Amino acid sequence: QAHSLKRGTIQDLKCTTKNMLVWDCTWTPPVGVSPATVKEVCIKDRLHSCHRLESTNIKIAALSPGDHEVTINYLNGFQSKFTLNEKDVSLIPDTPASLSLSADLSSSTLHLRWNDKGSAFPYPSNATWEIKVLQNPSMEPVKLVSFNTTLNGQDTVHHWDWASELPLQCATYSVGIRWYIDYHRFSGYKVWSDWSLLKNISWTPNSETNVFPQDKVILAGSDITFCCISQTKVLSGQIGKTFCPLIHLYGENVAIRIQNISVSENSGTNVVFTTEDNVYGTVVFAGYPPDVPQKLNCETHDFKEVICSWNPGRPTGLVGPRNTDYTLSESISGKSVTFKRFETLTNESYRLAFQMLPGQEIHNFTLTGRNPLGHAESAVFINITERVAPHVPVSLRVKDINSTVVSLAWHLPGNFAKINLLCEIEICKASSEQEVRNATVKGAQESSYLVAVDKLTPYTLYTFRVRCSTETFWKWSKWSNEKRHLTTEA
Amino acid sequence: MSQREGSLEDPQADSSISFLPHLEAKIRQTHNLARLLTKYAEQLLEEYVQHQGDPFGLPGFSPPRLSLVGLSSPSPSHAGLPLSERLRLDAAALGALPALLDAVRRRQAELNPRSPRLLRSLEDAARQTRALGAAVETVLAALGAAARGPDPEPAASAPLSPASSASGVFSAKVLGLHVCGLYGEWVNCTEGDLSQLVPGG
Repeated sequence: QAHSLKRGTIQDLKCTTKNMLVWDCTWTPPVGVSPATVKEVCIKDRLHSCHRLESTNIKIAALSPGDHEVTINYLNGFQSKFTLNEKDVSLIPDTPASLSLSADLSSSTLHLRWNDKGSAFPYPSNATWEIKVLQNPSMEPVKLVSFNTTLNGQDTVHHWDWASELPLQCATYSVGIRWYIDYHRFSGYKVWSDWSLLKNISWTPNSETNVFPQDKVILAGSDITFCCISQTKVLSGQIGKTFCPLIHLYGENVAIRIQNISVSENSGTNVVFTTEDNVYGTVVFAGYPPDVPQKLNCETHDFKEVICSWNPGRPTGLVGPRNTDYTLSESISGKSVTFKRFETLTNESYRLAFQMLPGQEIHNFTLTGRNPLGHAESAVFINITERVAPHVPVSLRVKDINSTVVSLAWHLPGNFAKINLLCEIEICKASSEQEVRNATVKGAQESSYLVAVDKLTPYTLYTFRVRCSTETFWKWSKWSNEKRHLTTEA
Repeated sequence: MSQREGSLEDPQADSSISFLPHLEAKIRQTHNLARLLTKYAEQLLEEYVQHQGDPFGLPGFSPPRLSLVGLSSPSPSHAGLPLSERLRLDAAALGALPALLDAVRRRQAELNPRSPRLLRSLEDAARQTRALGAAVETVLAALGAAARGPDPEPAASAPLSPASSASGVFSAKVLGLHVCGLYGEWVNCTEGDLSQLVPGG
């Protein structure tokens, strides 16, 4: 504030500003002079303006930097003079505006949103915010946080989230916020705004549910607090068979704090509070997020569908509705398929069938595993023609061409029209002589294939079987059933 | 000793009562089924408890008191009621239990999907309870007792819900425990009531 130059008595002239554009100045009139007898205020600025006035408060446009002489004339001829400088002015912004407070009970998280009204301030300015969370009824701040933002000349909505250790249902919470502004061209005092009116969390308690959180899924190894809202004295609190020290909240309400929780059984870990007249409980599911799917392998048996299989990796400890869902998406076709299981199967049975688009060879697969604790993904980029594992050849038939040559025919389900098949024919003589011959055949759609086998011994019992793969080899099919055949006499 | 269809006015007062052979066989068969289910019910309760995690099953643990919409335990005064009334109460309870046991199985299928034996036991219990209820109804009909007096309407399709509205997993576990307990109580009660009808029983 500025001090009067005359008449020896200190008359404080205090100026504040909310936005550095308008100064709100008040002063104390000399002893014996009534505030209502003010006649005018004159300010020696560029304009040397005078303002007629009848009170000891005046709002003036912000003055330029430097000293300014202020003269106050009273009706009775009395005069006060002040020297006013921006340095004497306090910048006290209004309490933060349009506050909204919401609570996500499932995650015990408070969401605070407010608008900085940045358009009302010169910019860029630095805003420092302070938020306090009070836990009723003790009204002790359980959280006090401070952080900075920049006012950029526009109204900006800010968010602040706070995850409470104690479930929000266990106490009532209030939140307040205040701030101050630091503008490099303002030389006056930077002062906190008032605290905003406290915002309370409101939720309608279900009179029957006394223990919180209910049915929470959390990461194994983390810490968690459970509370019991009770009208009667709580005698004990336990997790599984382990009793825990009770933490008093207020009234008969208590809490227990669990550290480094271990993985739950399938049906979850029970948390039980015993009171004088009843027993209340909840269940917590402690587990892991999905592991990165391992050994993701995608192949086709028939060029109709791609079969992707994988190993889920580390068990998550979560089953049923909390089990891991898998989604296989293919970016080129934009298609995806989902794998939902209520029951966790043994590792090798994780597979998904993806209907191929005719003619699409390149596939860019991403397999995403998701459960309540997170997600993980694996990707594979393939040319499906290089990932063919044909079905087992069926309907193997042998026909004599002559005493040393037979024709072998078999059926191979699938659409191999665009590729060549590489097949192996195993020829066994009764005398356990065994020979394997290769045969390349032009692929076809849902077709049977025919190969001549020569240089056989007449009137000899042979056993034939066949398996196939593709020229761009990936895997053999299984061997077909064996076919016994006696060649004709020479 | 006269052979007659038999009546349930008060069998104790007339110990020489005898039923037609096919009815006696039906009563004996129903009684045997009830006795068998009493044993199964004990096994089911034990198996159920094992799958809910501590402190279920621990000596010091007494589960919360929950009252169930649609079914309660046999009342202490049950034994004092006329036999026909007791059998009709048994039949009504046996009529309500399958839906409750099914509801418990569905919830356990979420919580214990990797425990097929428990799920199968719950499924069997529902089916067998239905069979026992039908058998008791048949006995009552044969004895002409079924028609007399209003049937205590079984809340056959009673959803599994406690009288209170708490619906968390813990409540579901406790509710399932309660249903398995009721299942045991009512088949045991039925077995006791039927034993009064079994000649020489």
